[in-house]
Amino acid sequence: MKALTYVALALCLGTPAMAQTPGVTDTEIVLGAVLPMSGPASFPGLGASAGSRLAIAEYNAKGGIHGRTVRMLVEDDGYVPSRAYQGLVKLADDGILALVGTSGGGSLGAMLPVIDEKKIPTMVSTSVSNAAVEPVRPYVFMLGADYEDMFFAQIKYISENDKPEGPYAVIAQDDDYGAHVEAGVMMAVEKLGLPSVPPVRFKRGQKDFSAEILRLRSQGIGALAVGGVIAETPGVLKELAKLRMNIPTAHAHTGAIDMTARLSAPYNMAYYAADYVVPIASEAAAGFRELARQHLGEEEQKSLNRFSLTGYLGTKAVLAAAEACGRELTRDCLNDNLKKIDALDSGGLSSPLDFTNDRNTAAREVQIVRVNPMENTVEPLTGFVSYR
Amino acid sequence: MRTGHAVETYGRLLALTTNPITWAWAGALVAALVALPWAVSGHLLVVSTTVLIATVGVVGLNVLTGTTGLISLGQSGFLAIGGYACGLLIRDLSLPTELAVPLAGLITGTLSLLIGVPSLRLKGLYLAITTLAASLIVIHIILYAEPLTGGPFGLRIPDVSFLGLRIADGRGMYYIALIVAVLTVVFVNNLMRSRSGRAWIALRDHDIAAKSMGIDLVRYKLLSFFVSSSIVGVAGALMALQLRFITADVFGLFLSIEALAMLLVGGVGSVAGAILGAAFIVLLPEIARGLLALVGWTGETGSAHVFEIRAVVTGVLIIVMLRIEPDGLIGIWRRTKRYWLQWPLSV
Amino acid sequence: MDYFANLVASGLIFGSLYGLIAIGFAVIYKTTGVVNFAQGEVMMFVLYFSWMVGTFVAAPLWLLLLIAIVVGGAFGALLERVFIRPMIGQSQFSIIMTTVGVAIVLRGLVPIFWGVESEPIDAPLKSQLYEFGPVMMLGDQIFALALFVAISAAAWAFFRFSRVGVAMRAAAHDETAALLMGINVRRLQGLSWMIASAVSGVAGVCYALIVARAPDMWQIGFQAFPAAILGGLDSPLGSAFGAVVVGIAASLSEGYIGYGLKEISGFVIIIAVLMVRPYGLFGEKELERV
Repeated sequence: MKALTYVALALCLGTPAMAQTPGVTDTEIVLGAVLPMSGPASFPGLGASAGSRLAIAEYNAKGGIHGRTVRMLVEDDGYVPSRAYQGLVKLADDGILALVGTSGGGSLGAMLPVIDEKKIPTMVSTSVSNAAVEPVRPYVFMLGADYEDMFFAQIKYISENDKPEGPYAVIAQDDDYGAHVEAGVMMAVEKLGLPSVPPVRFKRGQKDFSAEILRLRSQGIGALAVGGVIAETPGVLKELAKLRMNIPTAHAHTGAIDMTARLSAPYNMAYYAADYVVPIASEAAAGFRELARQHLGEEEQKSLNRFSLTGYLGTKAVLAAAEACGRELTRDCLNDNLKKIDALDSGGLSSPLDFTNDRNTAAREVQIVRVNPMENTVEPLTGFVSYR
Repeated sequence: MRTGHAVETYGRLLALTTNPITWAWAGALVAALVALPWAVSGHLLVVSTTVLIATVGVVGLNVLTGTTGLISLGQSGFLAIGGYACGLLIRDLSLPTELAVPLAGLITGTLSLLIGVPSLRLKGLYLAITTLAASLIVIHIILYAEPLTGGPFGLRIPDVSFLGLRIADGRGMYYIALIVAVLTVVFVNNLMRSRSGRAWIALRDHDIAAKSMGIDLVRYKLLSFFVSSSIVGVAGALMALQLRFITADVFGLFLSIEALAMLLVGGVGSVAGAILGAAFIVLLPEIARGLLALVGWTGETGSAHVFEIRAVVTGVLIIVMLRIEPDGLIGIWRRTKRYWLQWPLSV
Repeated sequence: MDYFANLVASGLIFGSLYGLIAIGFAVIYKTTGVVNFAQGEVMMFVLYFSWMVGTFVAAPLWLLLLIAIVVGGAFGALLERVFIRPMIGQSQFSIIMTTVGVAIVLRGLVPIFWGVESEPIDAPLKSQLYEFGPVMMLGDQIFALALFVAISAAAWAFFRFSRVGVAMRAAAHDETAALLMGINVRRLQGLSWMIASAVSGVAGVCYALIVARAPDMWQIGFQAFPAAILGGLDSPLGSAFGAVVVGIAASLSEGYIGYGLKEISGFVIIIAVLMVRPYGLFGEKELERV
């Protein structure tokens, strides 16, 4: 009985300590991320976590945030929603100030109830998602343009510059991302008064697009938007090359990744892509690459890709907001300061970050690039332009 | 020393157990499970809830695969039907959760007959692949029936209550899963001793022999499909309640393989084995995490390989389990029990 | 008509990839009664390993293929010796689950050793265009198709004419009788794993040529299931034929119906076919006695 009393006493005494901001101690700030770190979908996760670590290392090298060192806990979801849910609960247990990596698609969907329940300040930077900002939550922020905008921009560009003869087509994977791509293309076709053919959907992870492209050829298409991630771009280009269909194609930001270009090289076709961050191999990202050389290990440097840029910027924004809070760091203060960021310098990696809009979303401006896989070049065609 | 004893009446044959000590132990286990949320933290509680939900699913699968001998790789499809049925009943028809969960089970059971009927002639791996095919088709339909299921955008389930327990509350969800799991285990344990249960076992051991003894193959095979899938459907409903958001991705193929692994690692054909297997496989990632942390590998060190290595360790543990204990965890349990019951006479 | 012919031709290409995997399934099932759930993963591991060796010696395509066959055979023998043989005597179910465990391990090992990025095979074959009337094909696609036909023919001849092949059929038919006739059944089982893995090595090279070397290439193993089941799990040539049917059906279903049916059309077909023929088109019906 005596022991029980002690336990009860300890619990009572322990309560004020619990009321402290999670993930913040006298010497430390802990951030969390749930990302696909294993399996075939780990490419974005490895890149994003390296980017976040870089932002953290940069701050720590300057002496941390008001004397506190920052560190990050990562949970692997393998792109499985139930594991993402469990991982986030684990992070919440361990105590995190904010969540800076949110996997994508269904995984984010499964994390949102926990984020809402515990009001965890969250930066959605790995993969944009409407569900995160509809409705707008005071503790959820997002970095990046909608897929709708990225494809709207490219269709508009193609219609003004390539002026293709035939109708516009879209082939997209059958998940929420693909649906947004489809919506973007359809929006462009409608607004610009362009001819179109019905959208084609394919199973995520599909490798062979011969039948789909044959079908589109029979409809005499003049331009094609591809709502795939990485392997889909060379997969589609291969079939286009086979059928000698030299038409302009639009791709997601993953189209500009070095790996995608390398895989597409044998098919001798240049293509468009759009992104809200600069190509990682470009001159504009030279500073970022140099920073990575200083702060990251060899293994992490190898896993750098465009998701590292978004992870870096998102984490940097969170840390900047935390810094603005001073020594008295609370979640409310973090949210307030994130909401106040209206022109955070992105080092030229994207348009300046501005979260003051009605969607809590920064870097919504899109840059169109032309990828030339044969020369392995990514050439910006426009600046960062808003399509809202 | 405990010994077996002759069963003299039909009633005693049907009884769950004739031994009061077994009742006492079962009671103690349930009491411990009821007390658990007061002892463990958020994440462990979520893992425990997942173990309970997996238990319901595997006990259900065990009716079809362990008891009737029909190997199914269709678990993920049945879970998906149950999950979506439950979610839609709650969201669109505003049914109370207490009604939606069992209804989701019945809907799954009924739909499973669509797969059960064509599968009557199939055996072994051919049946396994057919059920796999069926589950892929189910997931495909869910993904493309966007007006009903939300398709690629998934289905969000509002925060509802079940017998006064809130699903968004960790403890609440745990108790919901516990109640359903206990009911399922008691129900299936009873069923195994009934006429149907014994008919199923006869089917498993030799269906032609069973038929010649007057067991209606069609009827009992379909009944097994129905009962098993209904229970799996209930597990799917619990998954939906726990996550409060489901998409087709939630019900990936790996669930079917995982469920079979749970059955095998636990011990095929026994309810207790199914429970042990569910616990082992759900806890496996945590075990792998712990093993790697022992040698200083955590996710924080920066080496991303640690996550891949965890997956490898998971695979290795499954192989090792199958190698050292072909009868599953329940085999270890039985041997340990026998050893201590007969001590010091045991060898 | 052009449209139809092109659809059939493109169905043949992926059909031949499925076929190479399905032959592997069938060879192992025929002699051991086990379905190797790690077939796709074995293909991936063998390809990655051969690629590493090939890069080391700067191998051209034909040499890479040869390396893949040798590495495949050796790796198959190793897997059988380490994981499968100790499980002999246990339920078929446990052995299959062991192969699932092997699959999980291989899936994890590949990114650890060789990273997560995909790589194309650099071969001039890839961008050469060939026209057969209205039908257009790329060089790598013809390469895969030709290898598939060659290996199917070789498998048929092996089981029909060679001493070892006949012994394997005998062992599959009646293990006890085969043992009594002086056939070393265990060695044959090891051999079947070697053959299956060597064939999947070929599949890996074809896959990498047509698509890319990627850490998710194992998924094709599971897409080849319908092919193996359709033809009958215990018939290598039947599985090859099943793969052709599944490939063409997939292509036609996308060409004329759509709705993403392509990737599941094979599974729809097997449900329909198994209702009529429970052991696949060419599988042997097992006679049961009480």
